[in-house]
Amino acid sequence: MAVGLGINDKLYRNTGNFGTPTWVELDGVSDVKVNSSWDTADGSTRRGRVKMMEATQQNLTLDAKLLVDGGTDYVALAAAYWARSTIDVMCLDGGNTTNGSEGVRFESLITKFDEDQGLGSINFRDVTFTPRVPSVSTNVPKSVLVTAGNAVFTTI
Amino acid sequence: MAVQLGDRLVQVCEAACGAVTTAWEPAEPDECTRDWVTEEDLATLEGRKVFVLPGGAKTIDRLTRGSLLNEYAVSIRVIERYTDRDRPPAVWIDERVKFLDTILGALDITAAASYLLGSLWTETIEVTEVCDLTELMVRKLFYAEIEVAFREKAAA
Repeated sequence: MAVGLGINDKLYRNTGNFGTPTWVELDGVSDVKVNSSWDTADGSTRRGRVKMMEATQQNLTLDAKLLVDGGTDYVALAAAYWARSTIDVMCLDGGNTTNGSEGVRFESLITKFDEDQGLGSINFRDVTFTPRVPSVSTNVPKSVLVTAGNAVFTTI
Repeated sequence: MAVQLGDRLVQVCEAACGAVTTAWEPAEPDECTRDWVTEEDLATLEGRKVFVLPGGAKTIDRLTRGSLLNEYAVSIRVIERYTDRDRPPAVWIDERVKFLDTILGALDITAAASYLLGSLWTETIEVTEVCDLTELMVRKLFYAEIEVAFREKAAA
């Protein structure tokens, strides 16, 4: 298996609806980070001296550095931030038609939109996408695996 | 298609030469030119010449997944021969030193509305030689150097 490179990873936003998405790549981002971890509950017993945990809820967010360039994608995300409206995002470690690409997808609220305006900097926004209460009960966050050229979604 | 650095560097030099000409409005034999000179030319040089030459081109960094930050170095030489029989007086030298401000003003571009070729801003601009004393003493030439680095976001 080839080594994964960050430059080949993809972040998409859906311009269609949840059931029949139209994925548009957000190529105006530089660094992207998927923050994914499970909260755990302690189910330890006297059966052993080792602590034994079970996963309860997952913490899932996406962080991205977005170039402030006034382009279509930037304008859409800025509008969604200020209006607190939903952005359906998908973050993969490869293209959305490349078999084996995996990642996550969820209806998000943009909860951070910081901007470094340092004298020597190019303007970027530090953006955080956070899963929001879904518009439809089945539109909960999904893990993604591209199989046979298509993104296959599995409820987390 | 990714920008061809060499090709773009030539365009940048042409645009810089145009910007200096517009700001200065030289009257013959003064001129801003992309042509260079030989030793023979310097001995009989007439008027004030501003030479705009390619200095270098490189990709500084990957700006986003879809774009690069490219830099183009432009070298400026200001050369004028003192044609009188005596030694160049301070007032003659000072006038040419002050002339360098015309070039700095034309090529120090930070406002988006004024970007060279619509996309290039000035990252650094420096008078690296305000008046070469050896050239002044030996050949009675006012010889100054200005180095400019322009940057732009380019398609990856």
